[in-house]
Amino acid sequence: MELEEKIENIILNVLKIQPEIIKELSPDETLNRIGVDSVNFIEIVISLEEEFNIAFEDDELLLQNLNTVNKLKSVISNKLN
Amino acid sequence: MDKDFNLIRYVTKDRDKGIIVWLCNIGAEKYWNKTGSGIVDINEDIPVNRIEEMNLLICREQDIIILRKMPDQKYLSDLKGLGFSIPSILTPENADLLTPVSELVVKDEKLLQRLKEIASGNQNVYFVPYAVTYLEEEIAEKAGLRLMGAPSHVNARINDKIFNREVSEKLGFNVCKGKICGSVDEIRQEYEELTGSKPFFEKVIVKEPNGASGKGLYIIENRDKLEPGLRMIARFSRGRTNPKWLVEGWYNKKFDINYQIYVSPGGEVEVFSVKQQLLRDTVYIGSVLPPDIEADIMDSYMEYGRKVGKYLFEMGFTGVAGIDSIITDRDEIIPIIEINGRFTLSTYISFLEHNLGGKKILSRYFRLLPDNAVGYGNICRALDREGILIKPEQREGVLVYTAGTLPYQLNEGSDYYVGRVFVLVVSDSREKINEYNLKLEKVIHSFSRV
Repeated sequence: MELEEKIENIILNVLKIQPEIIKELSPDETLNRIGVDSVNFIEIVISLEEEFNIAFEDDELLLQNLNTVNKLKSVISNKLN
Repeated sequence: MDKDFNLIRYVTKDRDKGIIVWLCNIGAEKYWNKTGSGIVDINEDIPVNRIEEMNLLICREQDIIILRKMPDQKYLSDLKGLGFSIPSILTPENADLLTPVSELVVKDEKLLQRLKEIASGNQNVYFVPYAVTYLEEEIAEKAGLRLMGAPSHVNARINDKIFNREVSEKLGFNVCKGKICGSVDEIRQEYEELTGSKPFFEKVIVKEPNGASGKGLYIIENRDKLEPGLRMIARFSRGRTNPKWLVEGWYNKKFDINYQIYVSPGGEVEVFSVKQQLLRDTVYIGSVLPPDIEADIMDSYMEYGRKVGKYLFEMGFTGVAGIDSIITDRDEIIPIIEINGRFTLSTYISFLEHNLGGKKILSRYFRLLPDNAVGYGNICRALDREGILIKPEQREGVLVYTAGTLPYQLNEGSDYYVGRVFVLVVSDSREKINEYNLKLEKVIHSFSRV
């Protein structure tokens, strides 16, 4: 499964929303538009850390730097490399 | 002379006495204790910082208030029209919308000089911030202001949920069944104990000692959520030495009650407000004034408040404290869930009788995510079209009591609008309040996409 698809699946599972909702969002649109906020994003971060075996440092946890699929892809790719 | 100061009398019966310099330094808890880290969302922090405007509801005309930004003029004029007093407003130079307001003040020499002139040029000037930390102590020292409130180390001690439980136990109050835990394994064990023995709780809540505004609270709703919840708790305690959590059973409730106490410098304790709180899980979304509880229960809260106030005074606390409590579905009162040794949002709506008479009030709060900018004028016009905007002549209907928290602008780097709407629904009758409330919800939902 591609990185983007894995990220989207995690978001769907945490928000408990239908796949179509995230498909309608462009990868550069903010996830706040589909209900992500600083509280539920904690669960997304933890799930991403477990899925990819990575760790976000505390000072990386700024929602504005992580709140699109493309931003998450970029950050996770950097950590995996 | 400080022992003559009584904040409650000053905002009620003795409104012409003294000058109060107000500062609503919301978010100050972070200076008291290191809190668990979470996700920082600056788009949410910006409207939260504008909650400072609520402080206007308790100002007197001769007072000074420090706000990071001058409020909307129509909003100020509408408040004045309803009989609220508008004080002199000072703003720090080069204020941005994110930096904590006390940090802005402490760096602003011109503003500090102005405060010095006010302090030295007038009798009986008192500095009353929302919360006292080392920053407000520094402001008071630099400006020669008389700071009314306990020293910051005392406040830091009080704003600790584990300490709050100890206070309850020492005063012989009912407490939630639970335990202080020092590891994830201990939390797991306590979860098993709480769900596996009487009264067989369905849900368990895990609390970091110093969380605020719903942060640092984890509700484990069922067994399936236990391990994911524990992972989250472990994740956010990474790097902390000697972490502790308060683990308690989650009670089914009839009421969430907040009561506000004031401890004067001379040790007088007054319970100045009791409200029924409306919560969504653990986050406050509004209040009912007066609460719909029996007189004997109200008397009990007066007594709890006096006992807590006396205890806090003996440890050096003075000032306002907000206490959260619950009444379970078995009519058991648990007087202390949490003590906030500072103002709370509920404090600012505790003196409305002065302007709105003996009306019944429902306060509501909504998070707004509109497609376009929504400012004070937009909201008021929409409420007026629905026929529910409060008018000075009748003092019935919906009052929008902050303007700066609204999603009136796109924040830098953001592609969506986000803000908070704080309103009071005011009427002589509960039926009318329910009617206005339904129409209010319709108006709010017409603006928001989520």
